[in-house]
Amino acid sequence: MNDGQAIPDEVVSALAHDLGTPISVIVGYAELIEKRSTEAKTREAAGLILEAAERLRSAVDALLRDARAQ
Amino acid sequence: MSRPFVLIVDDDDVIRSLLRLTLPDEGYDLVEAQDGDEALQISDARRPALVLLDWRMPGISGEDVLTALKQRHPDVPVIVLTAEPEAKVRAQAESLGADIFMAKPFSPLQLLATVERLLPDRPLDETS
Repeated sequence: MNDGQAIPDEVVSALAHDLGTPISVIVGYAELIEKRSTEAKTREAAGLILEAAERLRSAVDALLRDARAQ
Repeated sequence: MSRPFVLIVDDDDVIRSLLRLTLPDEGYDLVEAQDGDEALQISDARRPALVLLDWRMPGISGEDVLTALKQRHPDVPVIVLTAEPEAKVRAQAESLGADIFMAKPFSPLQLLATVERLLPDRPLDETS
């Protein structure tokens, strides 16, 4: 953090849950659509959602790691 | 061959919808209960082939529903789903006869594979 203030552990834990849970739902159901759809473009779109959600998850994980290290 | 009757028990509308979307209608006869009372009423009227059970619910807890379900239908497989710390609830659920324990947020593909393993005789559908 720029102002040098550490984020309290409980706030980081709450953020991990509040950000992590919807990302897991997005990833999980994009995987399900990718597997289940019989339409090629739908499968491709689901794959793009999956890639974007995985990038988002990596970014959130990195932010939370930094916050915990403060 | 009739579709296996799967009872979905969760007080959260969104989770019930996600569970319903995970299991294809072609393969399973899905019925939802929004609390333990409703779940036990439904399972008294009709024996489920499998139950997906939330652990933390207002009213009758998942723990009490599991106990009552296993008294009524000892051989019906029950998958317990919970967002609570895993080790504590897992031991409790397994001691009461839960067949599978899954932490929320669950992976739908993993849940689907688990249900398919527990109900291998279901009719084939497009996801097979």
